[in-house]
Amino acid sequence: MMFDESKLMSHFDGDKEMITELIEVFDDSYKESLTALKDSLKEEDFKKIELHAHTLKGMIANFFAEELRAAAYDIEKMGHNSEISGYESHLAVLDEKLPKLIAELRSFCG
Amino acid sequence: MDKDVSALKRLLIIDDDQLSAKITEKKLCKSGYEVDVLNSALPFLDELKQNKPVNFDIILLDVMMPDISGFDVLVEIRKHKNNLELPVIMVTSKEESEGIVEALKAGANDYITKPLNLEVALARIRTQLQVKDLISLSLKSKQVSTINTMVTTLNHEINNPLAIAIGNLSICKHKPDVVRIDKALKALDRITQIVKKIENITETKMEEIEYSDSTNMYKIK
Repeated sequence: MMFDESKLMSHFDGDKEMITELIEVFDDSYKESLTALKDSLKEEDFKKIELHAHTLKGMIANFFAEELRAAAYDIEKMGHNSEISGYESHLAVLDEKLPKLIAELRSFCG
Repeated sequence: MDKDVSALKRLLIIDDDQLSAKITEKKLCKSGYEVDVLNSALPFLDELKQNKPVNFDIILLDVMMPDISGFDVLVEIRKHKNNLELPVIMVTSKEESEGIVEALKAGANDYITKPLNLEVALARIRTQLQVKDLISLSLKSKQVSTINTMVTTLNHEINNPLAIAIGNLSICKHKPDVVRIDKALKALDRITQIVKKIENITETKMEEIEYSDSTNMYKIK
Protein backbone atom coordinates (compact mmCIF):
# COMPACT_ATOMS: atom_id res chain seq x y z
CA MET A 1 0.00 0.00 0.00
CA MET A 2 1.28 3.46 -0.86
CA PHE A 3 -0.80 5.06 1.84
CA ASP A 4 -1.29 4.51 5.55
CA GLU A 5 -4.63 2.79 5.71
CA SER A 6 -5.22 3.19 9.44
CA LYS A 7 -4.33 6.90 9.44
CA LEU A 8 -6.58 7.45 6.44
CA MET A 9 -9.54 5.72 8.07
CA SER A 10 -8.98 7.53 11.33
CA HIS A 11 -8.65 10.90 9.55
CA PHE A 12 -12.00 10.43 7.82
CA ASP A 13 -13.76 8.64 10.67
CA GLY A 14 -14.01 5.53 8.51
CA ASP A 15 -16.26 7.35 6.07
CA LYS A 16 -15.39 5.58 2.80
CA GLU A 17 -18.14 7.41 0.96
CA MET A 18 -16.47 10.71 1.78
CA ILE A 19 -13.04 9.35 0.83
CA THR A 20 -14.42 8.13 -2.52
CA GLU A 21 -15.81 11.56 -3.27
CA LEU A 22 -12.51 13.20 -2.34
CA ILE A 23 -10.45 10.78 -4.46
CA GLU A 24 -12.29 12.16 -7.50
CA VAL A 25 -11.46 15.75 -6.48
CA PHE A 26 -7.86 14.63 -5.88
CA ASP A 27 -7.68 12.96 -9.31
CA ASP A 28 -8.69 16.21 -11.03
CA SER A 29 -6.67 18.57 -8.84
CA TYR A 30 -3.35 16.71 -8.72
CA LYS A 31 -3.10 16.55 -12.53
CA GLU A 32 -3.53 20.31 -12.72
CA SER A 33 -0.92 20.92 -10.02
CA LEU A 34 1.53 18.39 -11.45
CA THR A 35 1.31 19.99 -14.89
CA ALA A 36 1.82 23.44 -13.35
CA LEU A 37 4.81 22.09 -11.41
CA LYS A 38 6.39 20.61 -14.54
CA ASP A 39 5.91 23.91 -16.39
CA SER A 40 7.48 25.92 -13.60
CA LEU A 41 10.43 23.46 -13.44
CA LYS A 42 11.01 23.94 -17.16
CA GLU A 43 10.86 27.70 -16.71
CA GLU A 44 13.02 27.48 -13.56
CA ASP A 45 10.53 29.77 -11.83
CA PHE A 46 11.55 28.98 -8.27
CA LYS A 47 8.66 30.74 -6.57
CA LYS A 48 6.13 28.82 -8.66
CA ILE A 49 8.05 25.56 -8.18
CA GLU A 50 7.82 26.01 -4.42
CA LEU A 51 4.15 26.92 -4.59
CA HIS A 52 2.97 24.10 -6.87
CA ALA A 53 5.05 21.48 -5.07
CA HIS A 54 3.63 22.77 -1.80
CA THR A 55 0.05 22.47 -3.08
CA LEU A 56 0.73 18.95 -4.34
CA LYS A 57 2.31 18.02 -1.03
CA GLY A 58 -0.75 19.27 0.83
CA MET A 59 -3.10 17.24 -1.37
CA ILE A 60 -1.08 14.05 -0.98
CA ALA A 61 -0.80 14.54 2.78
CA ASN A 62 -4.57 14.19 3.05
CA PHE A 63 -4.21 10.56 1.97
CA PHE A 64 -1.15 9.75 4.10
CA ALA A 65 1.04 8.63 1.19
CA GLU A 66 4.37 9.45 2.81
CA GLU A 67 6.78 8.58 -0.01
CA LEU A 68 4.91 10.79 -2.45
CA ARG A 69 4.48 13.58 0.09
CA ALA A 70 8.23 13.51 0.75
CA ALA A 71 8.97 13.71 -2.99
CA ALA A 72 6.75 16.78 -3.34
CA TYR A 73 8.31 18.32 -0.26
CA ASP A 74 11.83 17.75 -1.64
CA ILE A 75 10.91 19.70 -4.77
CA GLU A 76 9.23 22.39 -2.65
CA LYS A 77 12.47 22.85 -0.68
CA MET A 78 14.44 23.01 -3.93
CA GLY A 79 12.18 25.82 -5.12
CA HIS A 80 12.50 27.58 -1.80
CA ASN A 81 16.29 27.39 -1.97
CA SER A 82 16.36 28.29 -5.70
CA GLU A 83 18.41 25.16 -6.39
CA ILE A 84 16.67 22.49 -8.40
CA SER A 85 19.48 20.22 -9.57
CA GLY A 86 18.41 16.59 -9.22
CA TYR A 87 14.68 17.32 -9.15
CA GLU A 88 14.08 14.71 -11.88
CA SER A 89 14.13 11.73 -9.53
CA HIS A 90 11.57 13.31 -7.20
CA LEU A 91 9.38 14.30 -10.13
CA ALA A 92 9.59 10.77 -11.50
CA VAL A 93 8.26 9.41 -8.20
CA LEU A 94 5.28 11.75 -8.44
CA ASP A 95 4.71 11.13 -12.12
CA GLU A 96 4.77 7.36 -11.83
CA LYS A 97 3.19 6.80 -8.45
CA LEU A 98 0.38 9.35 -8.25
CA PRO A 99 -1.83 7.43 -10.74
CA LYS A 100 -1.02 4.24 -8.81
CA LEU A 101 -2.01 5.92 -5.56
CA ILE A 102 -5.35 6.96 -7.03
CA ALA A 103 -5.92 3.39 -8.25
CA GLU A 104 -5.03 1.94 -4.85
CA LEU A 105 -7.30 4.40 -3.06
CA ARG A 106 -10.19 3.55 -5.39
CA SER A 107 -9.64 -0.14 -4.88
CA PHE A 108 -9.46 0.34 -1.11
CA CYS A 109 -12.77 2.16 -1.04
CA GLY A 110 -14.30 -0.52 -3.24
CA MET B 1 -19.79 19.31 20.15
CA ASP B 2 -20.70 22.54 21.90
CA LYS B 3 -24.02 23.41 20.23
CA ASP B 4 -24.16 26.88 21.83
CA VAL B 5 -20.98 27.94 20.14
CA SER B 6 -21.32 26.24 16.76
CA ALA B 7 -25.04 26.97 16.27
CA LEU B 8 -25.45 29.19 13.23
CA LYS B 9 -21.76 30.04 13.22
CA ARG B 10 -20.48 30.79 9.76
CA LEU B 11 -16.97 29.89 8.84
CA LEU B 12 -14.96 30.92 5.78
CA ILE B 13 -12.17 28.73 4.43
CA ILE B 14 -9.68 30.50 2.16
CA ASP B 15 -7.42 27.93 0.52
CA ASP B 16 -6.21 27.60 -3.07
CA ASP B 17 -5.94 23.82 -2.64
CA GLN B 18 -9.44 22.71 -3.62
CA LEU B 19 -9.01 19.24 -2.20
CA SER B 20 -7.84 20.32 1.24
CA ALA B 21 -10.53 23.01 1.33
CA LYS B 22 -13.17 20.45 0.40
CA ILE B 23 -12.02 18.06 3.12
CA THR B 24 -12.05 20.81 5.74
CA GLU B 25 -15.46 21.99 4.55
CA LYS B 26 -16.95 18.50 4.77
CA LYS B 27 -15.55 17.84 8.21
CA LEU B 28 -16.71 21.14 9.64
CA CYS B 29 -20.15 20.89 8.04
CA LYS B 30 -20.48 17.49 9.65
CA SER B 31 -19.70 19.16 12.99
CA GLY B 32 -22.53 21.66 12.62
CA TYR B 33 -20.86 24.72 11.13
CA GLU B 34 -22.06 26.63 8.10
CA VAL B 35 -19.04 26.71 5.82
CA ASP B 36 -18.13 28.78 2.76
CA VAL B 37 -15.02 28.16 0.66
CA LEU B 38 -12.99 30.57 -1.42
CA ASN B 39 -10.04 29.29 -3.46
CA SER B 40 -8.68 32.83 -3.70
CA ALA B 41 -8.72 35.59 -1.09
CA LEU B 42 -9.10 38.38 -3.63
CA PRO B 43 -12.94 38.52 -3.83
CA PHE B 44 -13.13 38.63 -0.03
CA LEU B 45 -10.52 41.38 0.20
CA ASP B 46 -12.35 43.42 -2.44
CA GLU B 47 -15.53 43.30 -0.37
CA LEU B 48 -13.61 44.14 2.78
CA LYS B 49 -12.03 47.20 1.14
CA GLN B 50 -15.47 48.37 0.03
CA ASN B 51 -16.58 48.12 3.68
CA LYS B 52 -19.23 45.56 2.82
CA PRO B 53 -20.50 43.65 5.88
CA VAL B 54 -18.55 40.52 6.76
CA ASN B 55 -20.95 37.64 7.24
CA PHE B 56 -18.46 35.23 8.78
CA ASP B 57 -17.73 34.54 12.42
CA ILE B 58 -14.26 33.13 11.82
CA ILE B 59 -11.82 32.53 8.96
CA LEU B 60 -9.51 29.59 8.32
CA LEU B 61 -6.77 31.08 6.16
CA ASP B 62 -4.20 29.06 4.24
CA VAL B 63 -0.70 30.52 4.46
CA MET B 64 0.73 29.62 1.08
CA MET B 65 -1.40 30.68 -1.87
CA PRO B 66 -0.49 31.77 -5.41
CA ASP B 67 -2.14 35.16 -5.98
CA ILE B 68 -1.60 36.59 -2.50
CA SER B 69 -0.04 34.95 0.55
CA GLY B 70 -2.13 34.18 3.60
CA PHE B 71 0.13 36.46 5.59
CA ASP B 72 -0.62 39.43 3.29
CA VAL B 73 -4.33 38.61 3.42
CA LEU B 74 -4.16 38.65 7.21
CA VAL B 75 -2.45 42.06 7.26
CA GLU B 76 -5.18 43.42 4.97
CA ILE B 77 -7.96 41.92 7.12
CA ARG B 78 -6.49 43.48 10.24
CA LYS B 79 -6.66 46.94 8.64
CA HIS B 80 -10.45 46.56 8.74
CA LYS B 81 -11.28 44.06 11.51
CA ASN B 82 -9.44 43.43 14.75
CA ASN B 83 -8.83 39.94 16.13
CA LEU B 84 -11.91 40.10 18.35
CA GLU B 85 -14.25 41.22 15.59
CA LEU B 86 -13.04 38.61 13.12
CA PRO B 87 -10.87 35.77 14.41
CA VAL B 88 -8.46 34.32 11.86
CA ILE B 89 -6.88 30.90 12.26
CA MET B 90 -3.92 30.32 9.97
CA VAL B 91 -3.68 26.94 8.27
CA THR B 92 -0.15 25.77 7.57
CA SER B 93 1.68 22.65 6.63
CA LYS B 94 3.71 21.15 9.45
CA GLU B 95 6.95 22.38 7.83
CA GLU B 96 5.89 26.04 7.87
CA SER B 97 6.31 26.71 11.57
CA GLU B 98 8.81 29.53 10.98
CA GLY B 99 6.08 31.83 9.70
CA ILE B 100 3.70 31.19 12.58
CA VAL B 101 5.20 33.64 15.06
CA GLU B 102 5.16 36.33 12.39
CA ALA B 103 1.50 35.60 11.65
CA LEU B 104 0.54 35.65 15.32
CA LYS B 105 2.31 38.99 15.71
CA ALA B 106 0.40 40.31 12.70
CA GLY B 107 -2.90 39.47 14.37
CA ALA B 108 -3.65 35.82 13.68
CA ASN B 109 -5.66 34.35 16.54
CA ASP B 110 -4.25 30.85 16.27
CA TYR B 111 -2.98 28.29 13.78
CA ILE B 112 -3.62 24.69 12.78
CA THR B 113 -1.62 22.34 10.59
CA LYS B 114 -2.54 20.27 7.55
CA PRO B 115 -3.70 17.58 7.23
CA LEU B 116 -6.35 18.90 9.54
CA ASN B 117 -6.85 17.05 12.80
CA LEU B 118 -10.57 17.54 13.31
CA GLU B 119 -10.51 17.45 17.10
CA VAL B 120 -7.70 20.01 17.29
CA ALA B 121 -9.32 22.23 14.65
CA LEU B 122 -12.72 22.14 16.36
CA ALA B 123 -11.21 22.91 19.75
CA ARG B 124 -9.33 25.91 18.39
CA ILE B 125 -12.29 27.22 16.39
CA ARG B 126 -14.57 26.79 19.39
CA THR B 127 -12.13 28.63 21.68
CA GLN B 128 -11.94 31.62 19.34
CA LEU B 129 -15.71 31.75 18.94
CA GLN B 130 -16.23 31.55 22.69
CA VAL B 131 -13.81 34.43 23.27
CA LYS B 132 -15.55 36.45 20.55
CA ASP B 133 -18.99 35.78 22.08
CA LEU B 134 -17.81 36.66 25.59
CA ILE B 135 -16.27 39.94 24.45
CA SER B 136 -19.41 40.78 22.50
CA LEU B 137 -21.60 40.05 25.54
CA SER B 138 -19.33 42.09 27.78
CA LEU B 139 -19.50 45.07 25.40
CA LYS B 140 -23.29 44.86 25.21
CA SER B 141 -23.48 44.67 28.99
CA LYS B 142 -21.20 47.73 29.27
CA GLN B 143 -23.41 49.64 26.82
CA VAL B 144 -26.57 48.83 28.81
CA SER B 145 -24.81 49.83 32.03
CA THR B 146 -23.72 53.15 30.47
CA ILE B 147 -27.27 53.92 29.34
CA ASN B 148 -28.63 53.11 32.82
CA THR B 149 -26.03 55.37 34.39
CA MET B 150 -26.92 58.21 32.00
CA VAL B 151 -30.63 57.83 32.78
CA THR B 152 -29.91 57.94 36.52
CA THR B 153 -27.74 61.02 36.00
CA LEU B 154 -30.42 62.86 34.06
CA ASN B 155 -33.07 61.94 36.61
CA HIS B 156 -30.93 63.13 39.48
CA GLU B 157 -29.58 66.32 37.91
CA ILE B 158 -32.89 67.51 36.48
CA ASN B 159 -35.48 66.10 38.89
CA ASN B 160 -34.04 67.79 41.99
CA PRO B 161 -34.05 71.39 40.72
CA LEU B 162 -37.36 70.72 38.93
CA ALA B 163 -38.94 69.64 42.23
CA ILE B 164 -37.61 72.82 43.88
CA ALA B 165 -39.05 75.00 41.10
CA ILE B 166 -42.45 73.27 41.12
CA GLY B 167 -42.68 73.34 44.93
CA ASN B 168 -41.90 77.04 45.20
CA LEU B 169 -44.14 78.05 42.28
CA SER B 170 -47.05 75.98 43.68
CA ILE B 171 -46.88 77.91 46.94
CA CYS B 172 -46.69 81.19 45.02
CA LYS B 173 -49.96 80.37 43.26
CA HIS B 174 -51.79 80.98 46.53
CA LYS B 175 -49.43 83.46 48.11
CA PRO B 176 -46.99 85.32 45.85
CA ASP B 177 -43.53 85.46 47.42
CA VAL B 178 -40.53 87.11 45.70
CA VAL B 179 -38.06 84.91 47.60
CA ARG B 180 -39.79 81.71 46.45
CA ILE B 181 -40.05 82.96 42.86
CA ASP B 182 -36.33 83.73 42.98
CA LYS B 183 -35.63 80.17 44.29
CA ALA B 184 -37.76 78.71 41.47
CA LEU B 185 -35.94 80.80 38.85
CA LYS B 186 -32.55 79.69 40.25
CA ALA B 187 -33.66 76.07 40.08
CA LEU B 188 -34.85 76.50 36.47
CA ASP B 189 -31.57 78.23 35.65
CA ARG B 190 -29.76 75.22 37.14
CA ILE B 191 -31.69 72.95 34.74
CA THR B 192 -30.76 75.20 31.80
CA GLN B 193 -27.08 74.98 32.79
CA ILE B 194 -27.26 71.19 33.11
CA VAL B 195 -28.84 70.83 29.69
CA LYS B 196 -26.04 73.01 28.24
CA LYS B 197 -23.42 70.89 30.03
CA ILE B 198 -24.99 67.72 28.67
CA GLU B 199 -24.82 69.17 25.15
CA ASN B 200 -21.08 69.69 25.53
CA ILE B 201 -20.37 66.62 27.59
CA THR B 202 -17.19 64.64 27.07
CA GLU B 203 -15.84 61.66 28.90
CA THR B 204 -13.23 63.79 30.71
CA LYS B 205 -15.96 65.94 32.26
CA MET B 206 -17.71 62.95 33.83
CA GLU B 207 -16.91 60.88 36.85
CA GLU B 208 -18.86 57.70 37.56
CA ILE B 209 -19.97 57.57 41.18
CA GLU B 210 -22.24 55.27 43.19
CA TYR B 211 -25.79 56.57 43.32
CA SER B 212 -27.43 53.73 45.22
CA ASP B 213 -26.53 50.12 46.08
CA SER B 214 -27.29 48.93 42.58
CA THR B 215 -27.03 52.07 40.49
CA ASN B 216 -24.24 54.36 39.42
CA MET B 217 -24.49 57.84 37.98
CA TYR B 218 -22.16 60.31 36.30
CA LYS B 219 -21.11 63.33 38.29
CA ILE B 220 -20.94 66.13 35.72
CA LYS B 221 -17.91 68.29 36.48
